[in-house]
Amino acid sequence: MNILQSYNLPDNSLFDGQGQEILVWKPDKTYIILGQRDSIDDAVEIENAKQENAIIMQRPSGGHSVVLTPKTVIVSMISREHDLTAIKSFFHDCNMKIIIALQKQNVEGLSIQGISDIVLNGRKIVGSSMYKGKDFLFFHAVVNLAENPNYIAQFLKHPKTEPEYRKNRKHEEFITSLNEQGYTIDVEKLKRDIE
Amino acid sequence: MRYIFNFPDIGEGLDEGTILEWYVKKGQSVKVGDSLVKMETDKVVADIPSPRDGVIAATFGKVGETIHVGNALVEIEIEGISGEAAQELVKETQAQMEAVEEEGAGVVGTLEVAGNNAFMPASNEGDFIKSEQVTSTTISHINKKALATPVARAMAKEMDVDINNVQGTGPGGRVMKEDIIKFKQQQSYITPKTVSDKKNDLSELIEIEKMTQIRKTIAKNMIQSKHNAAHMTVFDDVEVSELIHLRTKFKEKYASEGVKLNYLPFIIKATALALKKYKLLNSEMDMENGNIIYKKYYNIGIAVDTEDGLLVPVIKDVDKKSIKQLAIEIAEISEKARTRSIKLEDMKDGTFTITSFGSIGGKYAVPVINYPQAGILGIGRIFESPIVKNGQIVVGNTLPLSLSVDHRIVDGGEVTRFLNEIMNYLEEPVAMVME
Repeated sequence: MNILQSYNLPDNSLFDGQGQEILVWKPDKTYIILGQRDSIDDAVEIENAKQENAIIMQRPSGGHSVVLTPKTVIVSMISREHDLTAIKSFFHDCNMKIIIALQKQNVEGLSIQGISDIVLNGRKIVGSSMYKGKDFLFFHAVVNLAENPNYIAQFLKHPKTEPEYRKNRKHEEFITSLNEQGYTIDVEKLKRDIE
Repeated sequence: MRYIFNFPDIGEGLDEGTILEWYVKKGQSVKVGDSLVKMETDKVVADIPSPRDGVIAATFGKVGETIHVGNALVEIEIEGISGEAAQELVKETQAQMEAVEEEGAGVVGTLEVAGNNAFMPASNEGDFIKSEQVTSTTISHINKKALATPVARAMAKEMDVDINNVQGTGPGGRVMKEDIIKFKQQQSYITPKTVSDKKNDLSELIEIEKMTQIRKTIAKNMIQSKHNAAHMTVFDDVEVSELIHLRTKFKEKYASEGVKLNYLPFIIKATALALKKYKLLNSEMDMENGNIIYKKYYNIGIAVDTEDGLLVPVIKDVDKKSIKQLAIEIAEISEKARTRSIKLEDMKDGTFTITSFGSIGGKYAVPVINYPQAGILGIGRIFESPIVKNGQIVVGNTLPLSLSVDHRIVDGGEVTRFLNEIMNYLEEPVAMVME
């Protein structure tokens, strides 16, 4: 079933809470999550999505489309206490939590590039986006633990805009996984360290 | 009275956003904090709240349109305010710092002040993050970011106070401007006079103005270029009497069709033809992967001097366009740049840049490369000078050229050959159409 579904993934529950909350979770199947600016026609290789029974949803936050699979982990954070004008610093703070947690598992050489990507050896391992509501900031990021970049690439068209460091690279050349880079991540520890 | 609310910098540091959805329409009543419109920047979707109670008099922009920071977003009719009160409100709005009511800082101040005062420091894009840098101190800093009203934040910056050290007394522990003043007073008992104190004594001698987003971007790009590229500049003169003749011949014909013909289309065309031959000048260096990336498309950026600062719109696929097409596009895109109606897409993907300062009066310059491009050509003012032609000294028309290149990518010999190729085309412009 490949029609656009409303966003009902686990981090939706964060909107119902109060204060600052963090949720680290793994998708149960393959999802193609459109950014607010994207449409299925613009962003998705629809035939491949149908073939793999990928579910397509549109998230409330910005940025371009991403693919979530059981070999990725999602880090979602909501804050009602953070300075609402300090979006860059919230991106930075959230990304630093992920970086610190990964460094605790001996991942070295991480950097932040573009607006909010976490990069290893010049290739993206974490992409994130944000939704600024009336009284909260909501961040979510997909960390590619072990998904094959070719599997992800088959679902996505080349985005209309890209960070400078991407240099027009195809998805499979631009993204990588921690596993591909030689790291096996203990997800439960990652979850404990971030939450 | 009418109150115009401009699109604020939402804190991401970008200077434009796209309208995704309007929550309000003309005639609708709104309260402070009600969401007006859903906007999207590169990575962020943001609900923009109303800064005032009132009735929507107008909305600016349709869904899908791009709005620049500082441009009008909505006009609000504020009920019950007239006469002196209205004047006061206008004054408040003009002095944005003072326009913020701390009582309502959760929404009102947040956005208005963000437009001019809450730009974030330059990003740490690309910084390598070492394990030893990530200490418990870092974590504690992350968790201890002060909550503060925008006024207090701006005041702290102005008074050189680290706001994270100030105990807030406002709602939810927010730091208020009184907290900053008290903190500063306490500090002054124990701190000797500093440069920033002296700065206050000089307030009559100097004027401090916040940088615009364009100026910040220019500054960042220039520093990036100077830090990363190995600049080298060569100068030369080319005799362009034939070019002047050709331009004069077609100028009126073009004008009758509404096209203004100056020398820039010829120079752009000549440059594109030379770039096709000397491909290093149309490349960039990828140090990370040890590659040179040759570009097989020829997109020339033109540096345009605007009131707000330098903008560089890009003319795409120059090699495939006629002189007339180029003249039309240059006029259109330069006008867009000057009126700030230009889009980011119009300024991306340049492969080489031309800066023409001759119309203002300069002859030579050392242009700064539009990094990561390999070169930039500076065009000076045409001037009359004695030249030798057929053994006779005659009056010639000389066009001065200044070419800066990234010496990491290209060496002096190749640069000189590239410049000679451009000069050959300009000296004998008919060769351009013979290619």
